[in-house]
Amino acid sequence: MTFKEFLKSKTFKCIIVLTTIALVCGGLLAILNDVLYISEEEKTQKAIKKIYGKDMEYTVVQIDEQDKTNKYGQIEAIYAFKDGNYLIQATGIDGYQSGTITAWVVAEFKDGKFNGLNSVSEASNEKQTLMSKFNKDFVNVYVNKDREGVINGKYFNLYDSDKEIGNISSGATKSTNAYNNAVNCALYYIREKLDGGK
Amino acid sequence: MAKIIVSDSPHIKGPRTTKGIMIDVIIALIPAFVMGCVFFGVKALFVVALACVTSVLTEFVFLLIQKKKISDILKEFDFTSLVTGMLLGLTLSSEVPFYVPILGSIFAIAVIKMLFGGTGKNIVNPAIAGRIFVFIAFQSVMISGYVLPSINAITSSNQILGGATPLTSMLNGGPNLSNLDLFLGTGVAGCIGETSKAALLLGAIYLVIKRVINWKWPILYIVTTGIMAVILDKFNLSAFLPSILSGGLFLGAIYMATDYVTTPSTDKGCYIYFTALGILTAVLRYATKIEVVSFAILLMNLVMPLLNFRPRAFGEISSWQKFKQKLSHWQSRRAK
Amino acid sequence: MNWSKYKNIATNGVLKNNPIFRLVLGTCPTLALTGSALNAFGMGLAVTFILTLSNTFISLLRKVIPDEVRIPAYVLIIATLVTIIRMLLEKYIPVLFESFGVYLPLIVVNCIILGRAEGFANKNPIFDSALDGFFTGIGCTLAMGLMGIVREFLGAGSFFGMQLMDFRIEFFTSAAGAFFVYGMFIAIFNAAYKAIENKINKKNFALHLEELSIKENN
Repeated sequence: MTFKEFLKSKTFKCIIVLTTIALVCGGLLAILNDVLYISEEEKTQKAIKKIYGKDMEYTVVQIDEQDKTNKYGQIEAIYAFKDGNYLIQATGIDGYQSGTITAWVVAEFKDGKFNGLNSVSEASNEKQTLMSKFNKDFVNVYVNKDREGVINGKYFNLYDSDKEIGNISSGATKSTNAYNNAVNCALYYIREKLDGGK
Repeated sequence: MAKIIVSDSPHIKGPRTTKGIMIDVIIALIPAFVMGCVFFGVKALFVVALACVTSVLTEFVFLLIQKKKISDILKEFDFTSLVTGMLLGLTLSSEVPFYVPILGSIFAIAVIKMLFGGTGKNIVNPAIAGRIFVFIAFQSVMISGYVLPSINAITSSNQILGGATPLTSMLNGGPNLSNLDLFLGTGVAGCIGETSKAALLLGAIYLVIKRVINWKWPILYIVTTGIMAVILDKFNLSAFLPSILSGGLFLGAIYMATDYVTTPSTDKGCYIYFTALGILTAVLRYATKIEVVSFAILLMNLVMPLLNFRPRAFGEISSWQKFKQKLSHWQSRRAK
Repeated sequence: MNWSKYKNIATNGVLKNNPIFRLVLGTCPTLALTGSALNAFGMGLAVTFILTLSNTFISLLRKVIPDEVRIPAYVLIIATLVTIIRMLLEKYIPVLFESFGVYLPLIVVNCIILGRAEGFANKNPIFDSALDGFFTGIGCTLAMGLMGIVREFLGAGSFFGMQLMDFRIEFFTSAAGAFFVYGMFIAIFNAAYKAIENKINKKNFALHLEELSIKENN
């Protein structure tokens, strides 16, 4: 085929049409992407607002390397709110099939002193299959049961209801263990680092 | 002058009728039903009665909607819906609220049996489908709603507390009752009809004598489950008896898996069907740690048409020969 | 203004060619998102919006796009539209965006859109195509919304999120219930449609006979 014939052929027309459509659509999407852009910061802000329940300025707390891991798991991130409360994302180990559960823990601080947990919710998990067992009633145990004990240094423990605070979700023993460890990990960090004047 | 009778075939009828077979099944279920009432009290009687009554009423209402006359319905009543209701009631725990057997029966009869064409045309066993429906619909009630029976364990060294069935306890690594207790049903928490294997066995013997079910198939199912459970438990031979005596295996194998409509029509098909059932039950129990007999039976019911190997017609070549013919035909075409 | 033709297109989109109950297209979002009435209506409205626009654009370009590359061209256009919708939803209605999840990008391969593009938009003028797209989308919304209301009421005891009763049959919000309710709705809708069609046909036939007899008598 000569070049002129090629210009008149079906193939060329197909190529032109497809390229034009692609360029026009791509250009349009590029412009709109700029206009409707949502940055990473906005996304984290939205996520945190959803967990904390209200819109509040926060700063990201830097965690020292040696404090990141303790016997219950590890700390992923800490946010300090303007009103004094802290939001901690902690991972608890020893779950079902040796997996982990990562939880958001909102710790209330009154005048710089730890005053109990305000809310606990699941962020993610590894290898856990019965997360549906952890309903509102189960999570409220972390907030309401023995708030004094939580302020005074007790940890959550499945097996030991005497010295510690006992709780269990029926049918999901190992996962409860991991969830407890996540909350305990946050509590450990609070007691070691955040609760000044102890 | 001799009378000449003109009629359509069949001209000779045997004594067995659907009604007769169903009445035999009901008689066979009576020991299990009685033991269930003894173990779990009046509530069990109530649940099973509710399921039966709802099943029969649903079928009646459906036939009335199809504009059949009441006298016709009563004349043609074969007890299939009553058997479905009874089986469904026996697979429920005695503590279920009243709406569970009602809704389960309505689903089983109206959807699975009547919408597909009535007696003999159900695609899956209606009692199994009804049980699975209530299992999905009321999960919180069904998974944890079992209670201990009124007669406690005789020879077991440990009691299973908290209303967990021996099967769940065993699958999650916990203790299990002794084999005698599991066989008699004393101290076993579970569904109304499934706890007393001795009563179920009595019914099974009656059915085999009356030639309602073939003795090979329940035995094949149960033994395959046991063997597969032993293999999965790292060849621990002592796991054979507990695994077949725990849970609803006996009830499912004897009364539900042998339903005529949903088993293959040839012997070869049945061998494959019941072996597959056994392997499926054991493997799924191992993987999901809950009672899976109803799900395994449902799966195999749906697969059953594939196993309906029809006998070869006279003069027809076997499927292997057909395949070889096609292969040589295709090769000769390629050579051209 | 050919009103009867437009009326035809409109009623076809909602009743005769209802994409969910008659053409059985787009079953994936139907089964997945009708668990709650709000999600169902939201998805239906998104599909309506995209259908109208895509039908318009494809009908606009129908003489330009050669026949051999029509599928890639249509998919390009539809994908652009869906991406625009996604960006708008993510910015302004994040609640709906989160509940759609992965099914929003799946609208690109929703068979309804490609089906109407192939079956109507590439042969008909712009306004007809836009109208057809709009009413097919309305039919889809109504169908999915109806299923959503029933499934949410039976499965969670609520109506658009307002809790009406405590008794719930969780079967209907599960996947098994989705198939079950879908099948029941297809059966009921088709039965009603055929009954009405039969009545209309009988009436037309009776009228036709009358005309014939009048002609004969004259």
